[in-house]
Amino acid sequence: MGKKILRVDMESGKLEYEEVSEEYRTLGGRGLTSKIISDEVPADCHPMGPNNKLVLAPGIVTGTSAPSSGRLSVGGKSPLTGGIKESNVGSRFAQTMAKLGLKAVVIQGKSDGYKMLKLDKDGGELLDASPWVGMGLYKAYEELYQKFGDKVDICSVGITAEMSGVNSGICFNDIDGLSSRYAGRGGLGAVMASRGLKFVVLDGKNAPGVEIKDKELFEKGRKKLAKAIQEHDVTKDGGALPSFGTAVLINIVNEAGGLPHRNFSSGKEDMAEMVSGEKKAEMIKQLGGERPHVCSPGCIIRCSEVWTKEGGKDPVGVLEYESVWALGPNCGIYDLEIIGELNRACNDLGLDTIEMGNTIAVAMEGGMLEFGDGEGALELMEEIRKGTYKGRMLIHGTEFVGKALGVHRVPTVKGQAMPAYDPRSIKGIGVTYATTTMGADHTAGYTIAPEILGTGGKIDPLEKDKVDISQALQRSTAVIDSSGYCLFTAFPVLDIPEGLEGMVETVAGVLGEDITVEDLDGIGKQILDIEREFNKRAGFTEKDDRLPEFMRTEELPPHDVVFDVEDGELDKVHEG
Amino acid sequence: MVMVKFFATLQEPVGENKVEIDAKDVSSLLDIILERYPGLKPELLDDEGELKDTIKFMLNGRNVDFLDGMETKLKKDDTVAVFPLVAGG
Ligand code: SF4
Repeated sequence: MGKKILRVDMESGKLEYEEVSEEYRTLGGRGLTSKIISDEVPADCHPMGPNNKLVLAPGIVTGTSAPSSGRLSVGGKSPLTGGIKESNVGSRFAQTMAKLGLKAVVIQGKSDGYKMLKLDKDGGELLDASPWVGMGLYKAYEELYQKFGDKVDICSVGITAEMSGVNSGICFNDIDGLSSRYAGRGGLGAVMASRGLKFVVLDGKNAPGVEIKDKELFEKGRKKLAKAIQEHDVTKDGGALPSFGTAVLINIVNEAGGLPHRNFSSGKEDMAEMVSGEKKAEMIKQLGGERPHVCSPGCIIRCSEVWTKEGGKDPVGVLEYESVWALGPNCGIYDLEIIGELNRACNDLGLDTIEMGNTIAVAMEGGMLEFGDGEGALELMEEIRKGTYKGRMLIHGTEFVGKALGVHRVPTVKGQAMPAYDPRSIKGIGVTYATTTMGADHTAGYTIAPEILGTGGKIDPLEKDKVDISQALQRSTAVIDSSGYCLFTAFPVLDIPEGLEGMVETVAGVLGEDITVEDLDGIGKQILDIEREFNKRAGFTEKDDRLPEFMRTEELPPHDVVFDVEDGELDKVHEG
Repeated sequence: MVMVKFFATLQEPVGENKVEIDAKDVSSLLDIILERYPGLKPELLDDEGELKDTIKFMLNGRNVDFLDGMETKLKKDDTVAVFPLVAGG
């Protein structure tokens, strides 16, 4: 059975299954969400107005037995950046959606009151979601699992999206049914809520599964890729990712002088060790949590975990590197238990942890509370939950809060706050932050791999000639985000050529298309061109491809460096 | 004395996160730590007994690959951080 695109008109309540056009046939994940948004959404529309749409699309190999491929792309016009957005998440939801034969779900129009879209192999319906409006997501998921059984998958928005907060992500279940996996970036939760959609619930029982056109090629590729993952020091059993999780980066980035502390004031502090991946793995053991763990079935890397309170109680889900940093060192907080509670609050309220951590740090710089005041940060989350004016101010992103409090040191690009690498001491990531279509986003072209980690090459992080590497990685990332593979498969495939070949063969096998490794750069460029053209139509110019001024003027200790890649160089990322 | 810090999978064989060592350059520092902590051998060396390409020595926050490599000189109060291959994002 070929896949279909489901169009849900929230206004009329009509669900229509459309045949996939030839133009969309070979697309998936980010390539498809960005193409549909570009084709159907006027770039100058208001992101919360009637003309914006939300698109969910699993990757091309998602739902098959390809390893670590339970990924979903969510696309729309971002209310945070004002540009096109693709936010990527790992969840069983992605696999179930693909197995139900859905290439994409397009949400358009606006309903009266909040609805739940319930889908199974026979079709779908819109149900009333009002009983869960105003409820924290952990409790809402518990109730939904009681109602529909523990096999369903759930996508949702939280209280902050109901308040139109443009720092609202879209939440998905982990394999234990916790509301902890996020397509967090860019405020797409607010877009979903503005359509009147509160939940998507998938029942995958007897789902037909994903059609593989060339099974032999797929199987050949799957084996090569799995072998590469199992051999590489980062992803193999006992390797860095399964042993310590993504937060293993805290120490190395801090030691390299690139971990931002106290709103990007310093790149290194000894206190970072207290919130490192090593420390966290030790505490998970003591507290009775779980590590390693997976975000979706079939992942053989297993970077995930379950952070809990003492005795394994009140599970939060994973504490990712970015979240630990944003809610921790960037706020001068070096206490994993407080960081865990801040992360719990973000998951429960429906907030992106990276944006929220930056917002709190800017609020600290603006005098709302002191750096290091973890209890104060938790109180702010309660203000948000109660919907006080102060709380509501804090859910509109870091840039907005900077303006409200008169703070000029605001680490954003295109309105989106920076992740956990200071671009002054790791200049390639600065090129990516500045030039990606997404606003400051590390995953868009992860130069940290060659600059700090020594995978996919070795490049001096302080050297400013980084245009080529950022361009190459931005293109390959757009391809991986479309394939359905987790970005962490990039570590083995960048170093082991057979792994990359295998990855391409699985995609070619599913599609029945002749695709080779040589085609990837061109495919990536096409996706980026579509996104960039959308942003141009939305009013973006090269002036939006710049880092904040303070990063060019204020030296970052300990290396005492500024971001010194010239503007003309940044613009070259889009050439060639 | 140079402060040497170990991270991730290197901490267990050493039994501590940091130690003080007297060494004139990174190469001699490697010899000393291998002798003092034999459990580090499989972590740091490949099957031929060569230093694995994935091991990073960071002197005061700079990867020695971008300084003078293993010949990089050490002086009093320097800090050397030793990392196996780690990744995340
Ligand atoms: S490596 Fe981590 S994020 Fe990627 S698919 Fe596996 S568990 Fe999910």
